[in-house]
Amino acid sequence: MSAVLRVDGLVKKYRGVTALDSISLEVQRGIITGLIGPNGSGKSTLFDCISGFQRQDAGRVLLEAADLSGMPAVKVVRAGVRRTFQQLKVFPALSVRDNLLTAAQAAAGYSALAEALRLPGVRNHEREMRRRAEEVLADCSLAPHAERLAAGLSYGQKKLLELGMALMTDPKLLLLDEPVAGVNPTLIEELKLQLLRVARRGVTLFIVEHNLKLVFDICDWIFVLDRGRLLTAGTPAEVSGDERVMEAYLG
Amino acid sequence: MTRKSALLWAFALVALGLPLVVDSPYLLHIAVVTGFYVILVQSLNLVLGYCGLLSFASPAFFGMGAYVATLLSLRLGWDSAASFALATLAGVASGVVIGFPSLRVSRHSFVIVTLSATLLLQLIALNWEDMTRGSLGLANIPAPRLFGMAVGTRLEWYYLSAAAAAASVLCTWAVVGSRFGRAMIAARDNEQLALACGIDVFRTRLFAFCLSGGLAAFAGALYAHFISYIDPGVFGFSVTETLLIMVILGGSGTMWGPIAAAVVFTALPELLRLTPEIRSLIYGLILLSIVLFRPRRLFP
Repeated sequence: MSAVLRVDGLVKKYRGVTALDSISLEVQRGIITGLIGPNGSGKSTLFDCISGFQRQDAGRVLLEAADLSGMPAVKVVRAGVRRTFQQLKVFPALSVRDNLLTAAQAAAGYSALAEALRLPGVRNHEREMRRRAEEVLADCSLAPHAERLAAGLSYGQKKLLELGMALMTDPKLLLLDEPVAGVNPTLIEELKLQLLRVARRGVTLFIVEHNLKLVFDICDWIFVLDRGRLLTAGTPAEVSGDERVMEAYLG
Repeated sequence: MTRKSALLWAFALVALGLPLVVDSPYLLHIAVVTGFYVILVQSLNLVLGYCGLLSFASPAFFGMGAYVATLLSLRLGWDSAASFALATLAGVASGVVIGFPSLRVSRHSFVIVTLSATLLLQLIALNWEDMTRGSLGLANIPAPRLFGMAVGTRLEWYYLSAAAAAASVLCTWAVVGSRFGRAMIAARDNEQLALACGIDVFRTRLFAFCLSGGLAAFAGALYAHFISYIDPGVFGFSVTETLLIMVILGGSGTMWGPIAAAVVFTALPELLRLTPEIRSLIYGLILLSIVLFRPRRLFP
């Protein structure tokens, strides 16, 4: 096994409050890694620092050999780290298909001029992305809704779309911030199958989730955060049997 | 053919044939000005509609284009093809200068910076008397010569204005329909998600703002040669008010609505013979009621 992501001594403080206190961890390639911990333990902050939405005060983030520390979000995405947000986000004013195409923009390396002249490379890329969008539409069972505005989708469909958007560009690492929050039990099963399918295709997943049943179910390795520190790590069996974890959750 | 493209073709045909039916110089004059407004309204719509950023830089770009084209033509005797191109580039460059520092910070500071840029350019036009003759303005701007051919008569002006408007429509349409158009909308509706999609929000906005600057400057260059006189009043805000009405009532962030509104709102007040004071009053009331009653969007 090899590490896709290495976080090394990450520190983040907000006005003197230490949100992350020297976090070091590794996410291995091709497996599903979970990140759990009570509210306010720093899970989302860690995701923010990895994905460039927040700048850490100390420590490094490495994606394979590339140093992502201090990189702005756009560059982190282009390096191959995609993320979703705790608060569900899609583009309401765009159609479902256009949401997917927009999500593929990171992969388009050409200039405005090439675009304006409709050079062959641009057209090929556009065609490739449209083909990819159709695949994702089918995968996420959104094909019948391709032309609808995303604003008109149900909550669960938006969750599926959000995941589909993250898959448009073959990320090396996918950070999912609460992928099943607020979703009904039937749809949780569907999202779970979807996540497993994504993982089987070789995408490395790193998941923050409060639904512990799901985490213990699908994750191969779990990190537990508590008050900005790494409390423990292990397989689902080890972590679910660890008294300190339940203590942290119950306060 | 869809209904929309049928409408467009019909409109293009009417525009082409209009001078055959209308021979009143006054009406042709209005038609020429309408063409300028079509360009200007797209310039504002790109920034306000597609990027969701309130900009008061329209007069800055417009006046910049007017002065650059005029000075090149009066002082250096340039052919208008070249001076219009350079005026347009000056608009793009002003977009970089104004946008680069202000688009990185908050939306509010962007508003303030665009406002200040317009005031600053007006001050320069007023006080750099050696170059601009200050408040006396620059008169006797010659009819444009395009590759040696003079555009003098109202009819020739009509077709120049229509061609310029059509070119600007095609240009905007191509951008808005491309991935840059999608990126603008994405960055407008959810900046964080846009970033997470790998969209460089800052560069997308800067691109739109520069394009907007180029379009407005181009309109300014045309305007200066058409009216044949400019003074620092070209940096005034009264045009912005009209443009805001056109974009918002037409449907900001839609391609054809603001253009239709530009045609209606340029022609209608003239045809109804409203005095500028009454027009200003009515426009002001319209804007106020939009802000009070439908601040987010006009149509649900």
